[in-house]
Amino acid sequence: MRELVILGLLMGISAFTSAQSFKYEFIDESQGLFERFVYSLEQDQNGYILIGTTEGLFRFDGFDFKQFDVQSGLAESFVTCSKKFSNKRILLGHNQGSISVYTGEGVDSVFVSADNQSRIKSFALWKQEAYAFYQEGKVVKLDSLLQSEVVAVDFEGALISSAVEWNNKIAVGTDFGLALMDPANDFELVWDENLLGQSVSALNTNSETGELLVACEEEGIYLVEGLNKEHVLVQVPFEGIELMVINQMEVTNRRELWLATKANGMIRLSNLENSTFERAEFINKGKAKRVESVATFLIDRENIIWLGSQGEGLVKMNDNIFTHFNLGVSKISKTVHSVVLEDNIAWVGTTTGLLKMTKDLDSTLASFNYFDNENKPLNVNSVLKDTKGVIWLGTNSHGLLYIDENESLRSLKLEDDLLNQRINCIAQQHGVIYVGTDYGLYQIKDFMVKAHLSMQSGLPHNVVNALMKDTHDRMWIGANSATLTYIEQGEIQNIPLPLQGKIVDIMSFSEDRQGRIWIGTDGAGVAMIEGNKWRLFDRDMGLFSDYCYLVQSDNKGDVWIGHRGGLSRVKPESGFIENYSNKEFGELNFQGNAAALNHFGELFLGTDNGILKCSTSEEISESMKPVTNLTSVLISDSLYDHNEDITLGAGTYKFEFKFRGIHFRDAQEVSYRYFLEGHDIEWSESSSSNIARYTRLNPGEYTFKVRAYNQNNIGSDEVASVMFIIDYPFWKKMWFYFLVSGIIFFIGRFVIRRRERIMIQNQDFLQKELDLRTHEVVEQNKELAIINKDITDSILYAKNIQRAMLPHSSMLSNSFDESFVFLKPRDIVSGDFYWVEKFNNKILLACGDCTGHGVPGAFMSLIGIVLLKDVSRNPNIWSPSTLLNSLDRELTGMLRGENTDFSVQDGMDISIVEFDFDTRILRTASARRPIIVYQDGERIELKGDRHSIGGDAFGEVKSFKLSEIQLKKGDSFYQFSDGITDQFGGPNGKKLKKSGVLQLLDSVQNQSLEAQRKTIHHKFFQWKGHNEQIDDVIMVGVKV
Amino acid sequence: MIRLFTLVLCLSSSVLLFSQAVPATEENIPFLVTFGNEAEPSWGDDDFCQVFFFSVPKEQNQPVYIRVYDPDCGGAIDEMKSSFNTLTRFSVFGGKGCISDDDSRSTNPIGNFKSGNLIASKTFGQKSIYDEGWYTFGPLNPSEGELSDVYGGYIFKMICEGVRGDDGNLYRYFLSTSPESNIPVEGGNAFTFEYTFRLHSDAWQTSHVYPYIDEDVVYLAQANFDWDDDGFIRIYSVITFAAELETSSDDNWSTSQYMIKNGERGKSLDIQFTKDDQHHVNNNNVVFYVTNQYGELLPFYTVPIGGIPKFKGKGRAEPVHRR
Repeated sequence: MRELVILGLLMGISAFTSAQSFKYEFIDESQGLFERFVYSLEQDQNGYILIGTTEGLFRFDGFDFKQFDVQSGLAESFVTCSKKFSNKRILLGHNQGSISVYTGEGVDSVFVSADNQSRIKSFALWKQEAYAFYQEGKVVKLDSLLQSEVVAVDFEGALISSAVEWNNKIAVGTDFGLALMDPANDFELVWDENLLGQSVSALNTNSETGELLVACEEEGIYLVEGLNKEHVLVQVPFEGIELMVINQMEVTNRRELWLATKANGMIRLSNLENSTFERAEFINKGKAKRVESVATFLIDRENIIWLGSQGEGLVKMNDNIFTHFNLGVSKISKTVHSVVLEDNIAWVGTTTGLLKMTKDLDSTLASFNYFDNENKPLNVNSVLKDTKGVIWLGTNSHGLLYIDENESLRSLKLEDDLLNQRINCIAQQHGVIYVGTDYGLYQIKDFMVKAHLSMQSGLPHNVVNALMKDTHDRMWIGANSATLTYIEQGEIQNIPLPLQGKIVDIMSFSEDRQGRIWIGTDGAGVAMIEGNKWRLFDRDMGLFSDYCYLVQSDNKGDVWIGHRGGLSRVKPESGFIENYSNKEFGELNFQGNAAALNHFGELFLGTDNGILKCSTSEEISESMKPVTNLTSVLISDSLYDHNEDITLGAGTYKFEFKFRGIHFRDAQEVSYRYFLEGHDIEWSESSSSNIARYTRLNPGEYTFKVRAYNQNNIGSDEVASVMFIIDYPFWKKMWFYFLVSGIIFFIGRFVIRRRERIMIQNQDFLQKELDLRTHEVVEQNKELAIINKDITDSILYAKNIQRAMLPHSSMLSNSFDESFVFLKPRDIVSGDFYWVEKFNNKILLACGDCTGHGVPGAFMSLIGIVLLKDVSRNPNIWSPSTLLNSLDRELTGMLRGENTDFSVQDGMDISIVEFDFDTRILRTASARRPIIVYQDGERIELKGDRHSIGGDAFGEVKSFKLSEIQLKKGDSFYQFSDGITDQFGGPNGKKLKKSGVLQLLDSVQNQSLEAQRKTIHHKFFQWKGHNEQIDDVIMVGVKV
Repeated sequence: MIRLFTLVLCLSSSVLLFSQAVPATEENIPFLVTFGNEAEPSWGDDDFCQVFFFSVPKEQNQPVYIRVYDPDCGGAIDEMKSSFNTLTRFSVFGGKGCISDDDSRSTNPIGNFKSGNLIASKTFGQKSIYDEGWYTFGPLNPSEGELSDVYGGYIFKMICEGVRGDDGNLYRYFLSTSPESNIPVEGGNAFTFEYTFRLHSDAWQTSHVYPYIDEDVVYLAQANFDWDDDGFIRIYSVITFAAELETSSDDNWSTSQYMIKNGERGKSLDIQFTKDDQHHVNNNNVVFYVTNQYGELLPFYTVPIGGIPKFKGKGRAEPVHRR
């Protein structure tokens, strides 16, 4: 025999594999559960796990335990069983027969009327009632208000183990068989004849089938359809179930039955067909620390299984999605390149040979490590069992081998080329074995090489990494290329990869349930082709890595992709990608093409450290939301009940809110965001801290809200919240405002009234004073009126004197054809005056305006008239100018006199004209007053000197000049005081000014002088209007 | 107080003796025996009930198991009358009253002798799966026992009752830390106040029981039932050599007293049951108990308190003269 086969037939060899079905976490004293014996488990509505022990009830939140004992309100410390009675209430049975209830926050004892000293073994719910079953046969009914009543039922001395509602009755398991209690029929008790004498240790109902599962010691598990019917004994794929004591059974919705046993840990029976479970797993098997006695267990909302052990405390079993089989001793021997699964056998190709193992990989049946008397171990890259049952081995350096009917290794020589000694992959199509090598693809039939395909034949590359035959009879070829190659009906087809011409190594193929082809590449992720449509999944889309050495679809349609150090699971329909890494299964690098799927849907993936089994039916509920709980509210170091609204008096407080997101799957990864309504503007940033603190909150109404998030940042549905009110200080309250307003109002009113009274008093006083003063004033007024009358009379009389001293108007009218004098004193007497003196056919006419008005003006006018008369008679006075000079001297001398201490500055403005009737020459002199002459209709203004008569206390030398003008008959001239020019009035309340007077005179030139006087009189008063006359007014007009 | 102190001291000193086999090797008793309640007392069981106590030290925080060897009544070991028809119930009790209740320490199963909390119970018939094999009660949480300083820790009570039939169920116990094998509990012990046991059929075998004599005992009163005149019952101690006790005949009680000597208190006595090699009584079952001068039952510890007494008197310990 050319091949020397070194066959290590190691039948019965002790398994050097080790299975790790579950991730265990033992929770005991080190974490606060100081009781290692657990009797009951329940999960409350807030997600807490409740653990019944001899030392009371413990509540677990993933981090800490809270203990409820007798001091907390339990009827007894020893909790033997529990049952959820409603959303909030969980019944607790005790060792001495008492009953307590857990209400979500605390515990209370329930009054039980009977003297029941034995242990409560079980609760069963029936309609709105709960029934407590005591071990020694007593039954107590609890209504919805937890009112208890002993039920008259006789179990004939049998010991009760469990009870469960079934078919509107309650099935009761005892050590004497199965009984059915009918609460609706006066608690009639009927024993099942078939199970009479059997010791029933546990009961459970299958909600899908309605069957009752009855665990009987020494028998096994019966499926009971109805009482006294023929019961079916459940068949399990192991021996000895009859010797097991089953403490609890739980049917899941996956055709699974979990058993908690007294001495054999947990057993999972699965794949139920009729009454036979195809599969049984002993969950504690192979563990260094075993959980042998499980009193009870709980499958929580996250599908985590909690074991209540006897002696090992609480045990948390995480999902069993991954099981690691650690092959061999050395690292090298553990590298698995290929896995082939048969019904009862598994073939495992490793770097040190081929292993023939049991299907569960728990023992090795044979190993093929060497070939042809070489010391170099076989490095098996690929294994194939063909349709004839031949096992083909593709090796790294020994070429193609196969195992013959004698279980001997044989070689099938391809060609004499070193490259084709390296076999990368093997596949079969229609009886033809396809062998992918570093030197192309070989087709073998009947142990003969039929064809060799290479680049010359149309392959994109000679190195063939992967082969796969799909359901459409295509042989897919993975090579180093920018195209995807397959052989269909003998023709090589190349289609471009959707990688923009990038050349990649195609490492693996898989076809999913929908017939889509998945292509794993070395550096470009994984591509999926469906018809002509491509879809690419890469690291940017969430893949663990772009280097995909292994691709395998599972029974559910998900696609698993193996990388170095991680595994990706792609759900093609949604595109959702889950990644798993060392956290789940340790440091593993997945090997190309090393994948197999068994009919249970379990994937076996080859790694550099053994085989990883993935239970693809298990879902890791990454999207499971945590439950958020407020655990405490500490306000200024005092603990408050956060289940009720909190009202605080006015003051300054510091707040500490503690909360916990219940998420047992990955409690450490829970994060929180919180929001204090009434204070915060937005929710806080995500944080792993479960404490929030606030200080110095203003008075007002607040609601603290918190939400927990899982590792995928998916938050809980409900927020946990607590509302609290910080009262306003009394001075900020409405009543205080009203009070203060009232006080202010009343004080104001008081003040006002008082002030009013004072004012009235003052007013009265003032009125009296006013009356008094008025009286005085009236009296004085009377006196003044008398005085005024006297004065007025005097002035009126003085007026007469003054009028008498003024020349008579006839002097002018007799001398001239026409003339007028418009004299309008401001007061009774006038400071303005005119004077006429006729001599030698000449006439002197003066028009004066004395300083001031009224009586002083009148005095001055009288002085002026007297002095004019006096001076005019002086023979040296020969002209109006000399007259004015003389008048000035006389007046100044008169007013200054000898008394230098008392002198007046009064004087007068005056214009004097001398008209010679013979020559019609008009000579004028003027002190500050103009003389207006109209000659042949033209207006001539003869301006006066800029000196007044008198008014100069310091003896200023004045000289008035003489003007002369030849008039003709019909010419006229006008003299006037400044009383008319300075008068305020008109539409704008301004002075009339000289220009106004001149316009007035211009406007009346076509009138007679009498008419002019009337017009001027009228116009003057029209101008003045309601304004006060400010000065005496005089105007003299003469027409020659 | 002195009595309690001495007992506790002795119990502490016996920690190193781990044998919780019942009967213990030192007792050389082949089996305990309990007949079905339809049996004749003359067959060697006066009340068809046997109560045994197991003490577990307070320091034990791992579960313990009480294992029963050959709990069924059928097969080679058990004593068949006509045909096997006996049901035997083994019940484990703990909790308050388990031993502190006076009725639990009585020779007769009357009153509240099942005091305490029933932890586990199982009735065995004739199924062969337990024949000459072990059945394990437990795991038992040590703290489920009744804490008793007098008896050395948490106390569990095992009551074996013949609830039906007339056959004799022969069995043994073992207080173990393992459900699958017999691994003694460190510091554990087992005791009873009334022994009902099978004697060897081999006349050259001697069985022993070891009542503990506290400081208050003035004299010891023994009672044996259905000895069938099968030999001698003698007391041995450090200073007494083969003090003979009255023995009973078939279906009879016999009592006698023994004055306790100085030096015997605070120790266990060795009461030996020596068969008469001339008499050849096979399958002899006997009931035996002792009280003090007040009629209070004295416990027989399977691990003798203070150790097995060894005669220290002058002269050699001659073999007992056989009649």
